[in-house]
Amino acid sequence: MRVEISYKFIVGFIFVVASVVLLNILVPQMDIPQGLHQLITIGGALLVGLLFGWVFSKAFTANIRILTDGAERLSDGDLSRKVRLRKGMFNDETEDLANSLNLVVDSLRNLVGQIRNSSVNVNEASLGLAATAEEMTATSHEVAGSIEQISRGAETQAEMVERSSKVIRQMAGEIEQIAGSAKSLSSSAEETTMTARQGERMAVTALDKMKQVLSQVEQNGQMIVSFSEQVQKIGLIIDVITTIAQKTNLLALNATIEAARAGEYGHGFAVVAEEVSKLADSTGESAGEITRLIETTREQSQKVHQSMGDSIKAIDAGREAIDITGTSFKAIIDKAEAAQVKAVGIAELADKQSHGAQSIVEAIEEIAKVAEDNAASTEEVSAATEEQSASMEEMTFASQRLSKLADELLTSVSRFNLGADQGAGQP
Amino acid sequence: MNQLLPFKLGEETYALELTDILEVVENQPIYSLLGAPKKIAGAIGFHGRIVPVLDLPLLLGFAAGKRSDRLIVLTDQYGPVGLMVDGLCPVINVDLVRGTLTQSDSEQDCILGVLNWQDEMISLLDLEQLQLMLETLCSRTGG
Repeated sequence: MRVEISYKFIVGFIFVVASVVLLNILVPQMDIPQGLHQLITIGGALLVGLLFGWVFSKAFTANIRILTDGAERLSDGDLSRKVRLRKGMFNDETEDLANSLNLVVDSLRNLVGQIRNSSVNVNEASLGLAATAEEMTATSHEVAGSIEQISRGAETQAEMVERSSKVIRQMAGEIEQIAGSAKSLSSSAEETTMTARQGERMAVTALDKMKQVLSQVEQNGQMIVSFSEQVQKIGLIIDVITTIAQKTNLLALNATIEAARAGEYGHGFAVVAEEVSKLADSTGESAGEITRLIETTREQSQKVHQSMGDSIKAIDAGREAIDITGTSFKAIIDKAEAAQVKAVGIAELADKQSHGAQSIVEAIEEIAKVAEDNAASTEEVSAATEEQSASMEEMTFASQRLSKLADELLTSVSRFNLGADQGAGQP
Repeated sequence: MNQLLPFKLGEETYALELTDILEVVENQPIYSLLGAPKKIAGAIGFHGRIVPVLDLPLLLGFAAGKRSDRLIVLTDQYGPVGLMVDGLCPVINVDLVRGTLTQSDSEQDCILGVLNWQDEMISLLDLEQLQLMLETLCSRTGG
């Protein structure tokens, strides 16, 4: 049952008043002299008052002491025990104070536990942070080295790009030359085609002429054959004439013989016979000459015939050669046309290549710009990395300081005794 | 003035007077005579008569060669007989009286004499001696 102190005082006062009243009633009934009644009443009231006062103040003082002890323990940092008041019949404000103190203790315990845990965590975290910061410093050193390499690489890259650009420009020029060559090749192929067509026409014409020549030569051959036959007939006639001349010669000889036997009378006859003989002889000589001429003519016509055969063979060979030439010209035309088409294709491709090379040149120029930017950026990155490195060192230092601070905090908090169960830092 | 008919025997030129010749015939088929000596080539038909033919080059010791188609047929005074020769030449006119003929000493070679005509040596055939040789030949053969 809760009774506040003021009520307790009031209750005590009431009890004192009540005891005075009671004693005033009781005392006259007792065999005590009258003079003593007042004294006894006063003494009894004082006694009751003292008794109540002693009881109340004893309990109050004990509670206050317990509270004081608890507050002292609290001030010493002992949070392991709660303040426990003695269980009395009547609770008063000390109970509230004890409860409040216990709440404070609880709050402090939570707070200290949290601080302890946090400082441990902070310590660990700051140690980890320091390690990480060191690692990061090392990494940033490495990064700085890499960035330097990248910077050098970027310079080399810029150089290479410059050289590539030169090569590509040269290549572009060469491609233009190729395009020019392909165009001239195309026109050459066209000229070749035209020339080959002309050649083909010429070959056809030559073939026709050759055929004409061949038919003429064949005609000539036939004429020569008929000529030879005629000459042969002349030879037969000449044989007859020769025979006649020989007969005449013989007749003239016999006539001369007859005339000689006739003596003087046959003289005139002999003269005629001699003339006839001479005529026969000259006829025979002429016939012989004609025979020789015929022989010569025959030999020559044979030679002509032979040479005509050779000519026919040569013309045949020529015709074949011209046929082959015509075929060759056709093949040349085909090839030249194909070459023209290819040359045109090459020219177009070379044009495209030229454009492509121009694009490449532009792209390479952009690459060069980017490479220069990269070089500049890497320098900036290098500087930033150095700054980062310095920051990291600072961070390492700060984290070390943080760790120290956490340690100090832990040390500060450690004077609070949280008891066995709270030592691990559970809130 | 004499007319001579020169003819070839081998490489040499012989001659006969035209008055001794009956006729010159040509391309007459020569029929060989059985049992006759080789120097008698055979016989020909001559205007209905059979006339023997002498191989004159063989008879006078010349090498056998290509004979002429023409045969000289002598007058009846000497046979008549046909003579094979190696070739006939045109008739020439010479004057034998003026001593152009060189007399031959030999009695065996049937040469009456040798005359020089246009730088050519022409032997004049001795027909009587030839006749004698022929007779000797025929009697020796036993004909």
